[in-house]
Amino acid sequence: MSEQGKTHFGYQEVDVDEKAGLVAGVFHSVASRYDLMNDLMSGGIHRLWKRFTIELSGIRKGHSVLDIAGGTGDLAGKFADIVGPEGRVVLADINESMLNVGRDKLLDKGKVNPLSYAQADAQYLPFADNSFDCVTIAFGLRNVTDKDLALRSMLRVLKPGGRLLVLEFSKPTNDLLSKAYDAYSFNVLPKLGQMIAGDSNSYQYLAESIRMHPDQETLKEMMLNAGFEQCEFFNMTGGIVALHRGLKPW
Amino acid sequence: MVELPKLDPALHVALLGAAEEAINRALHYSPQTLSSLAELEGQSVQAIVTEPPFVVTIVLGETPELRAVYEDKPNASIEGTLREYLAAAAAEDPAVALINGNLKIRGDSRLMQNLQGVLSQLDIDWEAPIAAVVGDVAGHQIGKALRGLFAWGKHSRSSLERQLSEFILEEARLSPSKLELEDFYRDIRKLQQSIDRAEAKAKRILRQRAN
Repeated sequence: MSEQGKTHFGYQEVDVDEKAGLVAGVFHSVASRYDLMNDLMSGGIHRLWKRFTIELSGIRKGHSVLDIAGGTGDLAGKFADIVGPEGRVVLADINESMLNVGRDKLLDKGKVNPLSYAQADAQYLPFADNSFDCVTIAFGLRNVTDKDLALRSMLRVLKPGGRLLVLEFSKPTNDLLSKAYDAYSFNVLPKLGQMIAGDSNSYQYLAESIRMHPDQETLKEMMLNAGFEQCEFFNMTGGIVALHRGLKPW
Repeated sequence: MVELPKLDPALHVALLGAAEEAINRALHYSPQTLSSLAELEGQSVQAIVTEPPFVVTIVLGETPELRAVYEDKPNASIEGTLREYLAAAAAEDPAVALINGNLKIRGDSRLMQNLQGVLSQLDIDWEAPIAAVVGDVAGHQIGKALRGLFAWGKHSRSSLERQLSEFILEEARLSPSKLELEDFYRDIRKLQQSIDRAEAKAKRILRQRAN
């Protein structure tokens, strides 16, 4: 947080208490078209980012997984297939609209066991200590008001040796790519948002919130400070997205 | 230790995802291969390409998976340059080529032999996917034509390769024959068993001495 009682909402500085409500507004607005927009905005590459996340999760049959900010259930659905009926997958999202869309989508695909759903705030996860083998948060951490608090909460619910995976937009490693990406984010993205989801402001926020999110090294440092160990990150698509991984100490 | 992908991970999983999709679609039309692969469920073979650097782990089963990251120890691994892989793949008998070539194989050799056996039976039923698009009658005719074409290709290729391999094996003696290789495998298995027995005996003696 930039100063006491204040935080970022995109490029705006808002009161800490305000941010969750503003973010909720964004996601209520885009929930029904979220998957379509993801495909359009990333050219389908978000599926590859998620596939790599699943590979790096090391999840097996019988494991328990918490997918925070799981939104429309892309990761949770895949995790459910891997852990099987003897495992456990909780799809959690703070936003009721996103959670409903995710639950409906997974039910429509016939995925029931071992999935369960929770409307939960990443900063105050309503689960017992040492409950999960793996916690994932994909494209969600940058919307959390107090990221340090959320990371500590994730550490608490992980079993010792369990792993946290944070998939998030990050800083491109190449200047040229960075310029092209900026032009795309601030010119094309809000227009796409207006055309598809009927909401350019939400996508303007998306672009801004990505720029305000900590870069690769800073997030790694935050994970170490929260108590994770063996933290590392993997840049994808030239650093537009990074996957961070950390383990809970034994 | 994680085997880190050398490519951008997104590109790496894109390539593997596309290959996995293509393989599984093809396998879908070869039910015999599918059931043989199901017997190898959960076993893994890692292919390490040193030049250009690329790693893929194939997790076997009815729906084989191609993974960019595999943190367990694979049951078997193959290592070599892309050129060496291509040479082995183009050989008449890839098993012989693997032994004589420069590819390094580690781990469970029985799994590799089983897998080679399964893949040599691969027989894709072309009729089913074509009939799904153009209907049964046309599908049957086109499927029949494709089967004939592939059989002819296989036959003419194998006849040429047979002549070439006869020259290499019998005339030039550049490479051991299948029978010689099987003898060699058998000797290795015997040696392995003798070593296992000797090891067990040595451990027993050491335990007795310790008591």
